[in-house]
Amino acid sequence: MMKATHMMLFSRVLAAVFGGYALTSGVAVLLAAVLPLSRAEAVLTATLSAFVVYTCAVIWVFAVQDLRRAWLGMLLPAIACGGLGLLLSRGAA
Amino acid sequence: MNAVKVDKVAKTPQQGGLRQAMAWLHTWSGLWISWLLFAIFLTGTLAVFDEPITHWMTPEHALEEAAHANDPPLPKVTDRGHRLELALDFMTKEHPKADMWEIWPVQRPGHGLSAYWFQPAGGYGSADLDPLTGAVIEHAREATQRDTIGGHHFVDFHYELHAGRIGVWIVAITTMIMLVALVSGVITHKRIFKDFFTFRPAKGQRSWLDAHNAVAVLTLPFQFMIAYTGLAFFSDDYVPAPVAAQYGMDNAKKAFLADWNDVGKPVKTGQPLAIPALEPFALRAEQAIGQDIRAVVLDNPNDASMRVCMYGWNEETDTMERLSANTGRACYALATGEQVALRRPGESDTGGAGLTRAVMSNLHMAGFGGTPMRWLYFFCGLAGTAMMGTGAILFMVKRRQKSGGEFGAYTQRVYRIVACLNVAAIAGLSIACVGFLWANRLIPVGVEHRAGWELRAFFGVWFVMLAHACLRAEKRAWIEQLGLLAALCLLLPVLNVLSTGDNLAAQVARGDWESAGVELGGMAFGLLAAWGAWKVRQRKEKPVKKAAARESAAPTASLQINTEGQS
Repeated sequence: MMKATHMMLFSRVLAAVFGGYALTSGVAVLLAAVLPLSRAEAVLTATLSAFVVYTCAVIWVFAVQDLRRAWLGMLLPAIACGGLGLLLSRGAA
Repeated sequence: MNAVKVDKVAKTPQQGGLRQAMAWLHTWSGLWISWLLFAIFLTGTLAVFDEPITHWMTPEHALEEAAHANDPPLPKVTDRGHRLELALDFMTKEHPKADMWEIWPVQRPGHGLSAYWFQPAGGYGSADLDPLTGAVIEHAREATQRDTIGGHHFVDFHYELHAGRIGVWIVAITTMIMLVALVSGVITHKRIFKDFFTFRPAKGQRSWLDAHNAVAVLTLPFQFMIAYTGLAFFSDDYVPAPVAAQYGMDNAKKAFLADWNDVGKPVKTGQPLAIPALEPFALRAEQAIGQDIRAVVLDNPNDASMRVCMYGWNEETDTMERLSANTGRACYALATGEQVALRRPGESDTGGAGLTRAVMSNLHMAGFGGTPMRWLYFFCGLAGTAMMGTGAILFMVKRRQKSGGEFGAYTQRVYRIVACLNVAAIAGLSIACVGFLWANRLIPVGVEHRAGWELRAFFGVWFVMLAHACLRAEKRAWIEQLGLLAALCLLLPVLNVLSTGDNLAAQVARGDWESAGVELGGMAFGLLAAWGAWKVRQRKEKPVKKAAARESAAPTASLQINTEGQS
């Protein structure tokens, strides 16, 4: 039982750190692709905005009650944003 | 009840669930980074005054400067056009193959004639030239001058912990956690304004909480700003995904930087072209940007694609008027003499994103607003440092009243480690900082790699303080370290008199407020430390109660959430 509680907390921390980073990267990839700016400017704007996304993501992971929801809330949008961003990117991708 | 089991937060929706989850997040994310953050904040705060500290740490230089303060200014021996020619001759002879030549033809205090270039192996090369003859000036350090990195130590430690790229990353991760701790701290507080006006002194835990809240709330916008702008410097390193997505997997970073920095950079044609006189271009650029010329950058020298860019010099009025530190810049294609780019002072030639980053960097480094702004940053930095310190202490004070039993059988051991780290990170690091100044005066001037020994003294003292904190009982450790800190700070002027013969009264008399400021500031910290040592001595010792010992035997309750911020 103690193990389970520890594991759940550990899982939540992982969701916040790595899930949150995945979501941040996904959103940044999408932003860089869709912002109506020159390529370099769009990329820089995306990276500068990323810390807002990351902070909010971590806060949300700890605010939400259900652990599974926390994980899904990170990974699904990360994949959706990242995938869409890659499809739309202007570069050599 | 102050504590709630973590599995309730994980599973059960309940009244106040969000605030309790945030309080947990704030306590634990904050605790584990508070020591490092304290170090980053304290050294960052000192870094605001890196120049006065360097001035104090180079007393021979400072005294010589003072001796010559009333000399008439050196006559302008050569005009700028001639100095540019001398530098071009030097570069043509010594570095004809370099893609980029950069010349600083300025005649100002601390500047003469300098040349820089890209080395084939990568990196910058540089040489200082005699503005009369163009000969290279060898900087053999005089034996009477001490070798030191001075106040720059605090700048470097503040952003990279003297550990290069790894240090930069550690600081970035710490800063990111700080953002989370700030937001979760704000959510935890129901009554942010009431908290700010509440201070209940001499009430133990209550007072620590009030102090923590007051310094945090008062300077909250500053803390957010300083954390966020700190991350902005290398944002594309921390989040490389969009760079890779837009520029491909191979050499994405390089392509991005080329796209970013080298807009309009000419491509070599292979056709030779003689370098014309550059002075007329410098005059045109001064007209166009309204600033004195600081640097002259020549791309592809001796090639038909040759381009020269003239960079302006930010005067003090510029730094008062503009948040962006970008100087003016005007570029000319030398084959045609045509102006190919123009940036007025404070503008960006890389759009809104570039301007944003330039402003963020400048905001972080207090590059605007002059001395009053530096003092404001200094006090806000101290408040931030106090926020970390009080937070870390609050954790222990609270658990001395009533253990949370968070780590089961290991709880007391973990608390002991936390207590050691508190002493070593707060008092111990402060001792290391002032110890760095002491090392500057105590290490003999002629020692080889002297600057390195000063650094070793800083880390050595810090390590000794950590060991001391672990070996002594917590209360004794606080008293002894704060006492030592007070002594080192208060005796700083005495050390200076004994080592250089210079004293506070003489500094003030000759108007050397940089040196006097370091010693007076040191003494202020010394008084604060002495007061702290006295307060700890007054305190009645209460051992950590094992209130939760029975609970922690029951495994389900072993992990608890403490709602620190709630009042």
